[in-house]
Amino acid sequence: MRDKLLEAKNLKKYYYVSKSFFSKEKIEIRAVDDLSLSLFASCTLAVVGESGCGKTTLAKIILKLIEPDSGEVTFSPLINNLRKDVQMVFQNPYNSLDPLMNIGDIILEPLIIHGISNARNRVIDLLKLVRLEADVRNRFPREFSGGERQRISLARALATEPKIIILDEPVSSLDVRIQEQILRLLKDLQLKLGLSFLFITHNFSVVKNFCDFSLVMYLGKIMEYCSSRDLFERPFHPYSESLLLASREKKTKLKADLPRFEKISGCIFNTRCPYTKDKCFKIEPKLEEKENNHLAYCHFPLKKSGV
Amino acid sequence: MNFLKPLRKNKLFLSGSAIVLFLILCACFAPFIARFSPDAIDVDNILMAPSLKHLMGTDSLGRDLFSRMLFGARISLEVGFIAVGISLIIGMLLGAIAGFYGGFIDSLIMRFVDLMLCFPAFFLILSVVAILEPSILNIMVIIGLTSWMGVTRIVRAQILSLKEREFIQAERIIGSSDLRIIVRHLLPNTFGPILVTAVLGMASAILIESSLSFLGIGVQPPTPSWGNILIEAKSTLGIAWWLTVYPGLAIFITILGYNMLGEGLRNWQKYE
Amino acid sequence: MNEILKIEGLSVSYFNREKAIPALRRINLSIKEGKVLSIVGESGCGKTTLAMSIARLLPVNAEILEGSIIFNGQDICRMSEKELEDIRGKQIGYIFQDPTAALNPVLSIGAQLIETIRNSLRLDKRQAHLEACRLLELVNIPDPTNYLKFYPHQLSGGLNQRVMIALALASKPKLLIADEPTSNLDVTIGAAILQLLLDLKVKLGLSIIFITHDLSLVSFLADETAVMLQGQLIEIQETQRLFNQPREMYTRELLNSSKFASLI
Repeated sequence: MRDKLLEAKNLKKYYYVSKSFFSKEKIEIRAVDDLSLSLFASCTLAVVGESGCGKTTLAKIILKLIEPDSGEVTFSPLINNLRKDVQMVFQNPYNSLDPLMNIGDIILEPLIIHGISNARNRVIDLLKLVRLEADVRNRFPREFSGGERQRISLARALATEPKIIILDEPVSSLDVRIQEQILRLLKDLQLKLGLSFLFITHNFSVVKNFCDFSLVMYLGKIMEYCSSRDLFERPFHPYSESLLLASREKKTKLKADLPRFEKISGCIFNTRCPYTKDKCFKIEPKLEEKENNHLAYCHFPLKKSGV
Repeated sequence: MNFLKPLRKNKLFLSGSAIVLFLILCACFAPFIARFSPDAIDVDNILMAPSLKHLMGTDSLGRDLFSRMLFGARISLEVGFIAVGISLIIGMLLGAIAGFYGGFIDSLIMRFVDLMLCFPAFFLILSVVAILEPSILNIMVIIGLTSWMGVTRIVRAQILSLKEREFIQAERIIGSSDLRIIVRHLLPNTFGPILVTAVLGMASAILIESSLSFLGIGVQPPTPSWGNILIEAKSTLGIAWWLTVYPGLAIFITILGYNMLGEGLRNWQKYE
Repeated sequence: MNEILKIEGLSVSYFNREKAIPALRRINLSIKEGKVLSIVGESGCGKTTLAMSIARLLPVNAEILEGSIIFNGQDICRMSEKELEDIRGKQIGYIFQDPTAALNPVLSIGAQLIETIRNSLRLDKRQAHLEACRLLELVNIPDPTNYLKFYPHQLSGGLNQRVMIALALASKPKLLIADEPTSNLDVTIGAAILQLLLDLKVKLGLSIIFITHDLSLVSFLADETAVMLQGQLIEIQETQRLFNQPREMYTRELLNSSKFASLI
């Protein structure tokens, strides 16, 4: 039985924005709405969702960069220093590194902050780990490509020997051959170092190749939570099905695009779901276990096998 | 240092820095270049036109104008650097705190900035200098204390935008303290725009000092300043054109030089 | 079947102070009427330069060194600005990667559509308004009369992309050039846009040049696929054949990486 490293319970984070420049009317944006999840040691959890689903807000809450309105994140005693044991790699390689610092200093910084000894040698080891030459230390971020910058961000994230790394779409902006390189590197490192990943992605092949468990998010709520295999072979939620369909066959059955500011009663997916029935507009579903370890937020989960 | 390349072709930058560099050299080497002491009174040679002996002529006390001008350059530079230095320190401090922490303290600081901006700076300076005794130190400090507002706004704006960039979030995640983030990561990334403001600020400071000295409440005679040399020029305008033209030209060219340097730097940054 | 566009020996370079950086090296390709040609390559391969060359919208520091782009029997490379006005945005339509950025933020989408329609077709205001509604329906925007009033920033990326397609179709072009139209969109919305483009190809007999870095998009839309590398067109084949029997090593590498990194 693997150790549970972190547990998030009923996280809520709502934002309020003015409807327009002149109006005082505020719209409630539910970035994260009653979200719970668990992450175990040496495991990968995929957080799948499209833009605006709240996955980045979720990452920020876990990293304590922002406070949730309610709910809490508890870590096991194995995670005794959040700033050492949980790290992150961002989506945008061009903004992740301080343009005024050279690579050596960038990777050295976390080691200095946490007083880790033999820091300079460790920097060389870390560069090796991410398959970069030691002589990049004196160069600056602007001299490197997107893929190389992600490796540097990864080296920085690995510096303090974290137990969990949150990856926010780390390869989506890179060319496909580089994507493969970085993904394989991540897989190797996970096996080598026994890391846990929280992998935020909309890319199903990443889910398939890497992730043990998957969590599908939509408008701040969890639509489906199950093993990745189940997600692929038997998705219960129509949104999961539509994501798979769009990824595999570039087709969609959805009725509309994302809702903008409308208040939705009943199931939040009812504006787009191709299978809606009366109940979907009246009563909101609960995220429940429909089958063994397979949770879905749906009144009428899909019965037949997935796409 | 590849990023310096575009600077080499930038005409504004080159001309501006040539002028400023020239000014700095004159000021540094003033004691060596000047043939006469700026205070040396020579009653036999009052109001002499420019000649080989007195390159810029003499004033109504027979003092060599060229030597006085060189030492005046020192004053101008000193005032420029120190006044701007003070405004930068205050501006960066307040701008960083306002931008980084936001909320109440941001509102407080920005309302203070707005308050200070309500006063026409020059008249504020005039009032303060009139109350205190005029001295070079007072002038430098007063100018500095009334010109930090622009820097604050620029620093705050930069920090507000930098704060959201991933590398700053990464700093928090690896455990950087607030102080470390502000001092090592945010402020250095604001130096670009601040440099432009600083250079343009020096032009402004020099102009204010010259104006104050011309009005008699700045640098006091016998210490030469381009501004107070012009006081005398007023009464001798018809007979000693050199007393007006040279200080006037010097102020004009110096301010032009700083402005060109500032604009050149601004263009370079846009290019970056 | 006619060739609607034929590019022969096209070479384009960018000039940067002293150096000349070649972006396209003797490109040869053609597209037949009513077909979709996809141009695939990694960043920096020159695919956007190719799109811009066809549009004659290259930046000042780029130059067409040699070659011809024959559209409807005329060489675009040799046309004057005046002659191009009739082609650009009229006979050849364009859609780009960032829909919100490509639309005018201070005009409502109705205003932009009507302006474009009246620019190419001689219609009065009322007729243009009807035509604008018809175009929005064509791109699957429900309730068009209402949507005409909206401004680009009020709409999502997916809707703006549809608006951009509507704008491109306003002048009834024969050829549509789509430069990474779905890269900025979510996967479900991108799929909807791809489906739309396929529909339009069938409904209107539109020829489409579809430029992308994402090989996984190509097999559903394109009849033929061309692979670019460092300014050169290294392989061009019927799409299914390219996927099953790629000729070049680079194409094989791209396909393998795509299979690993996305679901193909």
